[in-house]
Amino acid sequence: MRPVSSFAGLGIAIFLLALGVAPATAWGEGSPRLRFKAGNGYRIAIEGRGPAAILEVTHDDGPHRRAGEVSTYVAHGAVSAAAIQVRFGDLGSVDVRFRPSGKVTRGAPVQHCKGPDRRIVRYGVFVGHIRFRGEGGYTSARIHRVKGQVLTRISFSCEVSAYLQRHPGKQAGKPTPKEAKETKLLAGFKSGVTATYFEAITTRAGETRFVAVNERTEGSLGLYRVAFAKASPLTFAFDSALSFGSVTPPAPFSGSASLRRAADGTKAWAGTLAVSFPGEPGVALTGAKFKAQLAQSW
Amino acid sequence: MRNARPLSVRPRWPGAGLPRSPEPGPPEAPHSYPPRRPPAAASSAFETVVDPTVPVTSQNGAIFVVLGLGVARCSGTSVSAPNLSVVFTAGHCVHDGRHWLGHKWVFVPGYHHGERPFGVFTAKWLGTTPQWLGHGNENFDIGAAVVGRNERGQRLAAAVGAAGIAWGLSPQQDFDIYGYPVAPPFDGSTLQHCAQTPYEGHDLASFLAPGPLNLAVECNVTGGASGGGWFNADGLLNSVTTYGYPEDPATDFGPYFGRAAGHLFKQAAAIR
Repeated sequence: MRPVSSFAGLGIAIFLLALGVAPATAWGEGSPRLRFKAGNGYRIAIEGRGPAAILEVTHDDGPHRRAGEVSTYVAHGAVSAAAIQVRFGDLGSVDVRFRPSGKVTRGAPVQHCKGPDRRIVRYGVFVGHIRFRGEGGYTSARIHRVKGQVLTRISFSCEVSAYLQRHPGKQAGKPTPKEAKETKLLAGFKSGVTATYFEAITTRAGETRFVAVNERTEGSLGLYRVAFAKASPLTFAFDSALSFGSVTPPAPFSGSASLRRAADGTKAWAGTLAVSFPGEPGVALTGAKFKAQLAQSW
Repeated sequence: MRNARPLSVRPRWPGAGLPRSPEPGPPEAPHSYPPRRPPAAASSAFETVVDPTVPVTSQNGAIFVVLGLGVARCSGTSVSAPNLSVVFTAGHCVHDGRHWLGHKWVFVPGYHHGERPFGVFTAKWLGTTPQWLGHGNENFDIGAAVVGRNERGQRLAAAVGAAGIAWGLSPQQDFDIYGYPVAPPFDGSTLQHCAQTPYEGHDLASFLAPGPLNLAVECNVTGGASGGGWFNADGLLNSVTTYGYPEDPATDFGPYFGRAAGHLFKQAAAIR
């Protein structure tokens, strides 16, 4: 169940965690994964996870990643450590087999955890065919041979232990500066097999970020799209009483929107705000279906 | 019993296991057991069934499960089987992921404002799919019970009749959905019905687990409706309510009835 108060961030977290932190035993001997460059400046990564193959198309503005968009396509197929066979509806198909090169790297074992405690990566090439053409032809790829790897993950318990060992401050509940406050504007709706969420956030460190998520299913294809941008604090304005907030995020967003809370507590979220995802441009982020709220940390 | 809490929406997380069939389309020849149910006017709003004791409708019932801290609620359907005693419901209404809920599990067909017009049928056997039992895989959240006789000595199907069941059908159907929602705006005292609501698609979360993708329909369920029957145009039970989202109360999700549902039915039907 997703709490409405933090739906955008949590939506992303739930979906990605569900894909990424599934128990190692669930995925057999390892997850095949590969990546390559596709047309029009996009990158494609394909990964097998349990029953599903995930094809992720990414576009961003360079190494600093101040803005970018991702469209993720999920379909059930025949996935094992040795092969991926899946159809992504009318958009394409993947049918590849893994040929190991013999090179293997083994991570250092994680201490004090249960289950597989060592990440193992087997390198090699995937051969067969990968055909993909994004909606409206925004990108395309036709590949017969690509380098890749099969990753054997560590257990969830070890994943958590490793994280805590890398970030000891989190474990000890290290305090963050209290003077600055974090402010969020959340807007979104979920209806049937479609959901759209938007989040604007000004962090304690003074960074302003925008994220939009669109998820839906079409037949046997799951679609999960994310767009994000970092921007000047001037692009997210709000009053101290949190009765008003307005956003004018940069590309891949367009337009602006505002949230006004009337004296009787009713809220109005309106404007021209929209976002463009790979394969789905101009998705409205306002409208009657959206519920919005403005919140601030203590 | 009115104060019972719903045994409702399960937390969702991917199950474990090997890849299974890629699409919930018919991977096998469709199977069914005798049909029933007259058509009703289409409606995606849960509407109160004025008299749940009339023939056919009375095959739906409320499930009460005595747990350590109180009574939990679900919904279920009397299903046609040679032993005249099979109830279908959601898997989480018979097994909560750790324990069987069989200490005190009763089915009350035609339940209405606290009245039990056909008596109470206590479970003597509970079953679910191996995928729900072993991995909590929501694509297989289907449960069944075999119940004993009521206080009058009647078998369930002899008292209220029994619905046909089908598996292996196309998901693209219209469904009549029944249930006893407890969470507001309902109070669990009446049978509710969404009429002829069409299949909308699959939940994205369903892709994360093996097995056939689940089904979404427009029907404003709340907790307690879990396990309530989904009937196709031929009147055959073809899914059960398993979960919804609080931010989208108008949508109801249920598992695709494939081989696992068929196997569970055969298991329950064979119990004497």
